[in-house]
Amino acid sequence: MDTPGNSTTTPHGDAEDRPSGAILGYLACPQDAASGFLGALLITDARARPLHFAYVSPIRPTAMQRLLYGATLIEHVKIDVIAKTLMQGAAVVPTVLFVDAPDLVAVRRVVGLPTAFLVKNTEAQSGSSNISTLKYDTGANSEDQEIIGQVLAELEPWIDLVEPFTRLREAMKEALKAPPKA
Amino acid sequence: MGWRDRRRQKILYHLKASARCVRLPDIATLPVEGRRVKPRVLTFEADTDILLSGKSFQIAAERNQQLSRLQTQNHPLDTEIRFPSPWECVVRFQTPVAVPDLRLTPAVQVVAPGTLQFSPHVTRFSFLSKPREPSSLFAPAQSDRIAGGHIKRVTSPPPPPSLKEVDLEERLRWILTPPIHEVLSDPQLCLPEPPYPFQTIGIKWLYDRGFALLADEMGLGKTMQAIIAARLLYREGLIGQILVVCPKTLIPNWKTELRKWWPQVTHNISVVGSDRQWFLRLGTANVIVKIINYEALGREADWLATQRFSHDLVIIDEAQRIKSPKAQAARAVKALVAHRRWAMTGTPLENKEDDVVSIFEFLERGLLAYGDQAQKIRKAISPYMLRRCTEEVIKDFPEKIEQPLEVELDDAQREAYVQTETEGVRKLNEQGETVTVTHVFALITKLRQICNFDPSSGTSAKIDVLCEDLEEISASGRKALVFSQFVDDEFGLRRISRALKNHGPLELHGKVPPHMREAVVARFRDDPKSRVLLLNYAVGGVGLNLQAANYVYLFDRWWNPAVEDQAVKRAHRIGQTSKVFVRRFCCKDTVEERILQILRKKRLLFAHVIDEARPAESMGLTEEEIFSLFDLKVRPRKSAKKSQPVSVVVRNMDSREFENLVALTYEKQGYAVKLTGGSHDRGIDILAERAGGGGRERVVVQCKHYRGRVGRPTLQQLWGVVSDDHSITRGDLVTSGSFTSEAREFGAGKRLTLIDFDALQRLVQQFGVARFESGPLRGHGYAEDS
Repeated sequence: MDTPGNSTTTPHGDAEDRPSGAILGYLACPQDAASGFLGALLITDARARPLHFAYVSPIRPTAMQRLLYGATLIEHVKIDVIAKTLMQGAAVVPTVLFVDAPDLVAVRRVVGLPTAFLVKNTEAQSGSSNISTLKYDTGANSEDQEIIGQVLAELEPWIDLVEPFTRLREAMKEALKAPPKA
Repeated sequence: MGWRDRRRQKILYHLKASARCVRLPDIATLPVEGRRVKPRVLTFEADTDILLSGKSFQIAAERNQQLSRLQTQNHPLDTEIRFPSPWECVVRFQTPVAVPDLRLTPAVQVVAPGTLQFSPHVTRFSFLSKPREPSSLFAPAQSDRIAGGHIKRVTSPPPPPSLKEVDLEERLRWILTPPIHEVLSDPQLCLPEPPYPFQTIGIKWLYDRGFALLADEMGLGKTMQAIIAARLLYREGLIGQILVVCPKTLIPNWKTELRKWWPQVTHNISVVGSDRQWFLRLGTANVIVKIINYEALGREADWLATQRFSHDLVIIDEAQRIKSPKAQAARAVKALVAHRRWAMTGTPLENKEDDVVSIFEFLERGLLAYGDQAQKIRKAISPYMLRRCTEEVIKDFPEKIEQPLEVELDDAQREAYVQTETEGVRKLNEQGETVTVTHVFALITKLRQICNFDPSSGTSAKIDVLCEDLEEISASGRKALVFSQFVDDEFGLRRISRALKNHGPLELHGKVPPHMREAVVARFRDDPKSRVLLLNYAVGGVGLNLQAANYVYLFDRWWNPAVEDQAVKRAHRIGQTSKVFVRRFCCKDTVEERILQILRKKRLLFAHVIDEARPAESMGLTEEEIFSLFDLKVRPRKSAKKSQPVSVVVRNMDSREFENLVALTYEKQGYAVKLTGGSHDRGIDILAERAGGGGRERVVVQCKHYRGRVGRPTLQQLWGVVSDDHSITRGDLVTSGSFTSEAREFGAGKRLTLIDFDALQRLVQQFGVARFESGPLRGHGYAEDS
């Protein structure tokens, strides 16, 4: 018999305290004619496993807000309202933040994290190891390119870095279907 | 000023003072003719309330709703509203409006700072959990990474029905967990080889289910799927401790598989020892996987029923072991409390639908009921049962090539065979209506033994072919498995072993102690000199991974095609890289050939039953089928007609004949008897069952054809079997000799009956089975052990 009492090694091992690698943030702020502005944040570990998820209830600007914010309304709601609020309450701080739309790169100014619009590189040929399967854009924040590039280079061989957006949107849909808590 | 003028002034004043129109038409020219206002266009500030004929509507509200619409309908008095700019509203009155009815009042114009600000409502979920396994220590080098391309994209299965009932957080966790192929590609899992896509689906399927029956065909890696699914749950912190219940023979296999697929728990596995209750209660963090066999668990059935402790996950392997709900092991398994319960079996429907019902009594009590119709069962279990067949999931799996080996008996064998058959049939016919299936079964056994080896010369047509084949197999560096139902020195595996001594034969059967079996398997796998492994169906037929072999020989045939398939699957399973050649021996013009024909029909039935979940009958041969093997003019008597018992000389009987005599005695008492065929693992020779007043009576019988006295150890062995299984009414030890006083003392007060020669003689005579006579000693007579 393998006596449990004699065993001192646990599967946790010494590696428990080792750095767990990059923490990835995924932000999406879709706009829906019926629902208004939506938003959700998914934070994962380097294996794309969820650590934190947050979403906002739909925001429907009033006529007065529309009138007064005018053309700045969309950016204000997505960046200053949704993204900022979601990030403020995050349980962990991501190393980098990926967004699913070019206009969300502007979230950089409120979250203070390296931020990039991340998308599949449709021009990449399958089977080629030299061409990345991803394309990213840091907008005007060229200083973020280095760290974003590093994270992508490190993780791209192991996980599909764009795929978490799919889960994020599915989770948002599921959450909004749920009846509000009493 | 008349009342009209006063009224008009009042309205004009009101419009001027409060409406604050951006481009209000000239007040002085506001048409007020009589009591009507002609259709007219008025332009107001956007946030103005209008009261018309007692019905009010807010311009501002209308604007929000109908910004893009030019025409509004169903408004009081058919008005048309337009918004040429964000600041103005144009209202066209289609119908003359009575002036006194037109009221314009300003909307609330106070714009508080808070009104313009957004107050989003945020809901947050945290899935933070402590890492449960070492990470980078086990990560392979970049060049060795497990390419995602090995694992096809897996479509997320719909959440199990029960998930709809759980709270939002659990649902979100399910959705947000990465797709299974991503998880399995994780270098930190460090899987020794990438799972097949169907296994990936199976892992995810198990992972998502609180209770599940994985019923993949043999050889598709059920153990591996369960281990990885459990490992993923453990990593996520969803489970802490796992209890595995499996047949005793499979414990080494589980340990091997755990070492392979979950190396981190190698030192955190505990196997049941002598203190079973302590083991079952054991909940220390450094024991992650506990393994217990059915027999040991069964002994604690009553105790478990009073306990409340629980396990995070209980996995039962070879779940058909709990198909009999009253069996002790089944009661014990069902008494286990677990948050997650998985069952695994390749043959969920061995005999009848109630087998599945019994398994689901453990998985989800109340889902099924005994006696449910097949269709209802199929519908109810479909979300929780997953079954795949090899051909369906692995297109490029190494081929299994069936090669029937028809051999002609050599002259000595043929002579012995013909003589035995002729004599046997004559005797059976002589018995008339007293003939039973047991008598026929005894003849079949004798003939099958002769088909293996001639009893006098020891020659064998089968062994000649096998030796020739093995020369070639050994020369090519391949290995072979040889299955037989006989283990003995004269006709079975030990005789075969002597003939194959040049090929380093190893043996695996009931006479090999359990603790040595793992070493035998390892040696066969690793030792290039060991080219052949000899197994009997009972021990070597289930749960072993013997992919080192590419040739499987069925030296003699089993009664049940499912058992033969199990044997073949030891080599033809996941991990096999080459073709597997299955060579089933059959001696021409013998009872083997006749049995084979019946088995072919049975095989068709088996496929039908398992895959369609239809009612099944026993997979063994029926009485009618057994009688049809010979040209018998007689059939067993159906009526209770008294007949003259035959005379027998017990001391001249061999072991088989003695067993047949005992079996017949039980049959005469109204039992349905089943001979285990001599290869039963725990010494039981006969299973006898009959319906009694208090329910079904099950008796296990051990026969000892001894001249001398049976001692206490033999009784203890039988008691071990009886006490293991509460469904057994009692154990009978029948001997042609007598018992020692220690044996009688041990048996007193237990569910054991000791039947010595005198007691047997009384029974035999009482039920008219035979008449004992003393006669001259001939032949082999008494055996050391039947």
